[in-house]
Order: sequence, then structure tokens, then C-alpha cells
Amino acid sequence: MSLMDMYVHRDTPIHRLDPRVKIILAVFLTIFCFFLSNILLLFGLFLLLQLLILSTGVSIKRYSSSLWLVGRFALIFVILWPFFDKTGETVLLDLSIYKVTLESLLRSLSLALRILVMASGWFLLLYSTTQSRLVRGLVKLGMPYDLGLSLSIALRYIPHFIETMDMIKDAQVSRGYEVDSGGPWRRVRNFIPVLIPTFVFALRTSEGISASLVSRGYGASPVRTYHRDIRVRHTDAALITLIVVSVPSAIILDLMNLISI
Amino acid sequence: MNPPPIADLTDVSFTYEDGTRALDGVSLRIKSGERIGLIGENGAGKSTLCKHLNGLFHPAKGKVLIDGEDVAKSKASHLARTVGYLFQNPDHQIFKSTVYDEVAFGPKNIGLRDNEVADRVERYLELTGLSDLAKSPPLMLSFGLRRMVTIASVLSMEQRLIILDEPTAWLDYGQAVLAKEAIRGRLASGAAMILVTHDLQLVAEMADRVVIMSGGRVVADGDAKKILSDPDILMKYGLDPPPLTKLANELLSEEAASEIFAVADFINAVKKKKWKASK
Ligand SMILES: Nc1ncnc2c1ncn2[C@@H]1O[C@H](COP(=O)(O)OP(=O)(O)O)[C@@H](O)[C@H]1O
Ligand SMILES: [Mg+2]
Repeated sequence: MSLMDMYVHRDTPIHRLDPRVKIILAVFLTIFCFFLSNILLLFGLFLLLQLLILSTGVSIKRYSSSLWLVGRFALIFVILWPFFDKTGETVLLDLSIYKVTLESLLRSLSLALRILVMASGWFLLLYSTTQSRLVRGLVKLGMPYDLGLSLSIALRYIPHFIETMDMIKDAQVSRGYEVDSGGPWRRVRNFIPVLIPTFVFALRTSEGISASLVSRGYGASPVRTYHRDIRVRHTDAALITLIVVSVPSAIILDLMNLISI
Repeated sequence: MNPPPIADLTDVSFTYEDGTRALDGVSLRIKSGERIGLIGENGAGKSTLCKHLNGLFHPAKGKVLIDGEDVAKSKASHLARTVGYLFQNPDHQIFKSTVYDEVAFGPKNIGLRDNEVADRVERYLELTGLSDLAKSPPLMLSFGLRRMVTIASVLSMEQRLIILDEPTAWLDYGQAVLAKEAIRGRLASGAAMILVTHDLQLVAEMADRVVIMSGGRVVADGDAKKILSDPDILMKYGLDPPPLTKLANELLSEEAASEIFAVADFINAVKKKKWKASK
């Protein structure tokens, strides 16, 4: 499974959207998730995003393993939450230091959903947008070209780094090295044989990328021309308006407690 | 009584988190000193199988015994005393500041005493032609030399079973010769080997038994010469027979073709005029 590039080669309505629509959606969802806590709304949004993501034609196998990378964090939150939040009336489980109440469970679930919704917005963008359109969109939204390019490359490489780190850990364990033993400080130090190759891998990768960019004429001319420029169509404009209007109003409604469970 | 096989897999199945069934009822018994060429298309399950042999993975179903010991009950870092694993990419393991220290890392981990560590490191640096580079930073070496460093660092642990994933890829001719000699040295002292590669000529040179995997199953398992000289079975599983095999099967009698594994065999058969009967 190559995670180097998340883009799914298809031609779906989501693919055809102006990249700016999807960028704005991802950014707004990220902001939205900081404010919104209504679990029903989050859940509905999550389901809607899953439908949209699957409509990009990404294979369920590939998508579920990407989602699981994020899902792991969400799950850890839900599991650890009762250690820190013991408030609430309806007690579901009480082991003194680990007390689960209905209210705290809902709070942790809403937190987990926020993480998943946030990630889903970015998945939707990355699955359905080629690198060149992504950069083009970012630049048109006002980002400097170099930064836009670096960001889009970085986003695409994150899963690859995680995968590589797992492989490096396997290689060192196979040489008789114990990574997961000892107290917390030991464990941090134990990680050095994994971190150094990961770091070197990152350097070599970025060296490789920049060499291949330069060899294809990156930075040769101060003024860039674009092979295929992006243009906002009516649907795109309508969607941008919808996102820009609906997301903040949902937040306001939520803050005013107008939609409550 | 016979010694227990070094590795004994019974009906092993394994499914990845995302639902990919990578192993589907694999049974395999490897005796001490056996030299196995493990071949099959990309995605056949070769790497997944190998990771079961050194405890990186535990079988979802079935049993893996290494030297009679249940892998599910021991850790990969402990099994490293018995099973060595050379991974494909040298950059996934190199982290020390000198070649010497990099090679010494494994032997130290398995608890060898200092003088023994020094002894092993010097011996395997010599065998892999790296003695002069002992004090160099391994990360600055060429890719081929980095690969040689990792070969030395795995062999120096002197395990009884070594798994080698494409050990000679990216090596130049001289390096490949050295690497093969160093590996043969380990085999001569009784170690068993699993060689994972797409290079069937290498398998012909190094292995006495061939196991073909496809779709998570073992689909052929037998004498290396028999399997490698049979282009039909190789091609059925998407493998490209060595050029010599193709040539022999085109030109020589069926009987003679089944004996051809090296250029010298081919020359002999030609001298004895064992041509294929013309149709
Ligand atoms: N980390 C993983 N997560 C999910 N699927 C995997 C993973 N690693 C391998 N696979 C899948 O398992 C199957 C067997 O892979 P692998 O053992 O690497 O085969 P080989 O080494 O013969 O090329 C393939 O379908 C591959 O896509
Ligand atoms: Mg493999």
C-alpha cells in the first residue's frame, strides 16, 4: 500500500469542485470543531462526511486504515477521559479513580467525534485534489507559493512517515533491541535508535523532493505560469457561500444553546 | 531423536487491521541448515510470513514454533537471539556514528561479552570488506555500502535462522560476491536461511528448497532444482524464470533442461549435444 500520495484518480463531482471549496470546508470544519460540542450535530456531520469521502471512490480498505490512524487517538481520549473528568450525575461505572458518568462519556464522545470530523474534512480534500490543484487553491486564497507547495507535500507525507517509523522500530527490535521497556525516561531514551533513522529518512526524502523539484525547473523563473488554472463555477460559488454562512451560524446556535440534546 | 525443526508453522493465518487477509492457512517446517528460497509476486504474503518467524507478528490463528518454543509466548527482541532478519532498506536501521558501533549493536543487545562482541565485529567487517571503513559514519556511505553494513550487522549476531529480504539488491558485482560469500559462511556453520527475492538466479545459486507463495498461501514447496527448472509453474505464479532456465527449456531435451542451474551445466549439456528433438 503506497501512502506516498493520497490522491484517488477518479473523476467524481467532489473531484471537480474548485479546490478552494474543499480547502475552505476543511478549514471551517477544523475551526467549527473547536467550538461545537453538540453530539448529534457532530455525529450527523461525521456521517455526511463519510458519504462524501466514499463518493470520491477511495477504497474502503485504504480509507479505513487511514481513518484508524486518527481513530486511535480518538479512542485513547475516550478511554482516558474518565480519569480526569468525574463530574456528572448518572454514574455508569465507579472504580474510584476511574469513574464513568453518562455526562462525561458524552463529553468524551463529542471530543472524539470532533477529532474525526476535523480529520475527515482534510481526508476529503486530499483524496479528491491533485497536488497541483491543491497548491493552486492555497495560493489563490493568498498563501505564498513556496509555503503552499511545502504544506501540500508535508500533508501527503505524514502517513508515509508513520509507516516508516513502524518499519524502523521492527528493524531495531529484530536486532534484539527492547523499545518498550523500563520507566518513562528509559522509554524516551529507548526511542533514539528509532528516531535517528526516522530523522535521516525525513532529511533524505526532503532532499530527494527538492532535487526533483529543482530538476524540473522549480524556482527557475520569478513569475509562474499555470498549465491549467482554476476557475470558480456557479456550484463552487454556491457551496462556498453555504459553508461560510452555515458553519458560523451553527456555532452561534450551539453557543446560544438553541440546539441541545 | 531428531532435533526439533528450527521453525515449525502450523495452519497460520493472519489478517491486517484493515481487513487484508495476508496469510491463509500456511504450514511450513524448516529444518536446521535448510536453505529456502521464498518467492512469489508482490503482495503474496512473504514479508508477513517472515515477520511471524521472529515474533514481530503473532498468528491470529495457528501456531508458530521457533526451536520448539511458542512464538506467541516470547518477544521479538528475545527471539532475535535465534532468528536474524535483514530488512530491505538499510536506512531503516542505521543510527550509530561509526560502522563499527553499528555492527556491534546487535551482538551487544543479545548479551555477548565485550571481547566476543569485538571479535565478531572484526570478523564480519572483514568478511564484508568493510574493515577499512570501521571508523566511518555509516550514514555517509553509498547505498551499496550501507547495505553491506546491515548484512554484517545481522550476520554478526550468528543466529540459527537468518531471513534475508533481497540481500543483494543495489549491490555492485563485487559487493554481491562478497555478500554471498559471507552468507554462505553462516550457512556452512549450520544456520538455516530464508531468502526472499525476485531474483531467481540468486535463488538457484543459494537455495536448496523453494517455497512459492501466492495470495497468502504456500502454493508450491519442494526441491529448488525441480521448481526452478519448471517454467510453467513459475509463470503460473507470475514469476520470471531465470534466463538460463528459459534457454534450456527452449533448446535442450526435457531431461537435460531439468539439470541446468549454472552456465557450466548449460555448456556441458551443449557439448554432449542434448538438444531438444525437433518437431
Ligand atoms: N501494514 C499493512 N497493513 C495492511 N495491509 C498490509 C500491510 N502490509 C502488507 N499488507 C497487505 O498484505 C498482503 C501481503 O503483503 P506482504 O506480506 O508484504 O507481501 P510480499 O512481501 O509477498 O510482497 C498484501 O495484500 C499487502 O497489501
Ligand atoms: Mg515484501
